[in-house]
Amino acid sequence: MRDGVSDGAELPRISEACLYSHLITRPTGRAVRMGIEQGLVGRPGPVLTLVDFRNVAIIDFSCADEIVAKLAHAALSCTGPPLRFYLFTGLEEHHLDPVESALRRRSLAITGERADGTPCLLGEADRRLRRPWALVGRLGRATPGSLVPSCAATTDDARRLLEELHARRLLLRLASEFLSLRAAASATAGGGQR
Amino acid sequence: MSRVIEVPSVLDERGFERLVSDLAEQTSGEREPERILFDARRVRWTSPYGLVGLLAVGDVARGRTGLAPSLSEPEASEVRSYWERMDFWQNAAAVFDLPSLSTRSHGESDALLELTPIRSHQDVHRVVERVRERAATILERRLHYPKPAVIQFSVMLSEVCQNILEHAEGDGWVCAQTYFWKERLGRDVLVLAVMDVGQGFEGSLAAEHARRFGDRWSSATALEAAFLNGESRFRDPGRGQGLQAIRRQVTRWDGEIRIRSGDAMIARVPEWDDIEPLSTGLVPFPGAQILIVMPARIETPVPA
Repeated sequence: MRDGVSDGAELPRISEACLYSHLITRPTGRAVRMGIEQGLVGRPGPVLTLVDFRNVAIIDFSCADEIVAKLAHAALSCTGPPLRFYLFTGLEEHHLDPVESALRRRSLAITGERADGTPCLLGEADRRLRRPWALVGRLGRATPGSLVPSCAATTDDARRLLEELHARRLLLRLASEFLSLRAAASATAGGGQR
Repeated sequence: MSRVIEVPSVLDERGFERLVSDLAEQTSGEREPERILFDARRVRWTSPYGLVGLLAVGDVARGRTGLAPSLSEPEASEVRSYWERMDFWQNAAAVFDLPSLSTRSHGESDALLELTPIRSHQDVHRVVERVRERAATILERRLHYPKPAVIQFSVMLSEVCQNILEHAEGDGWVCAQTYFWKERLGRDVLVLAVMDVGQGFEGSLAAEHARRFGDRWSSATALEAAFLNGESRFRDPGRGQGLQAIRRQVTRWDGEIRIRSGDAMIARVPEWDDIEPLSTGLVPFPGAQILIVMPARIETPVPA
């Protein structure tokens, strides 16, 4: 048993949160975050929440902190079951500065997707982690061995990097494989766990 | 009996400093509290900062004397008209002892944002909503900023107004206007003024940071901590990023931001201005007074 999940053998359940137009001020952000967290209460097993930014016309720094950074922080704080993952989708150029800034203040990172579907790793993560994250993103899923030698010298080194990405909730471990959050969402949608 | 403070004929940042100084003089020492009359008859020009500043000084005068100050109207019709268009009198009624407001309504204003009180987060939402369309027109057509600047300006407005609620522990005001800044720039500028008369940066940050600075703790060190280092009164690391974000954005626009609090002022100074980045020893004044100037972009000619 690792992380309370049977060797990470369980596909996550999917939760969806669609954010709305004007995300400004801390109380607004707090209310939005609590709404998202409330929706997860009582859900057993790992949950991957897709947070949709397509309809967000504006987000200020306070709201970015209250919503994105605090959700990311809570996901890391939750070390036992059930694990929480977040994939922030529909991100436009004007969302990036507040979100990046809020994450960096807390030394956090998130997996995001631009409005055209391009994956992006936002916040604080060094090159050592960004390379395997990007590769798994391209492949959808990968084993440690498949990252040698492009991202790591040995399989053990690659496993450590992937485990770190999983621990930071930027990838998801499923048995011996590691999945990008998008691949996990697609696999779940195909496998039908919602 | 009233004591009279003459409102400077040019009511801008310097005019505000004169008002602050005159008020300190009129309310110093142990005197019987007397009503103060602000004589604005000779005012010839007012900036958004000066207009909000007059309200702030009036509010402090009221607090120091316990009596609502009086205010005489400017004689110049264009100044009177500007004050009316900026909703000055509606806001002044809560601060000054004024005659009836029945004749002071006005039609559509050309201001980006009329003088607006900030008392709650709901007010911040209203302000951001209100400027949305006007900001798009002004920033794109008049200042030649790229389209995303409208959102960036709204974010800045939201953060700077929230600063009042989060740190002042009191009410504040905001207003914004564009005009042609002939003397200093020879270009159009957007000027945003935000003020409160609350506890100021020194008071707000004291509990969390004063001990670390020891004897050096002052308005100036508090401003440096907040403006340059993103420190906040809260231990939460997510707090304090608003002002830093504003500074970054203003820098990208080659603009200027000044924050006056207590007896100090800190600024991000662009090449086109020559003020000191940090001024100390000013006449103490409560709260925080923020001025942001965004100059029109100079379009680079495309080489033939």
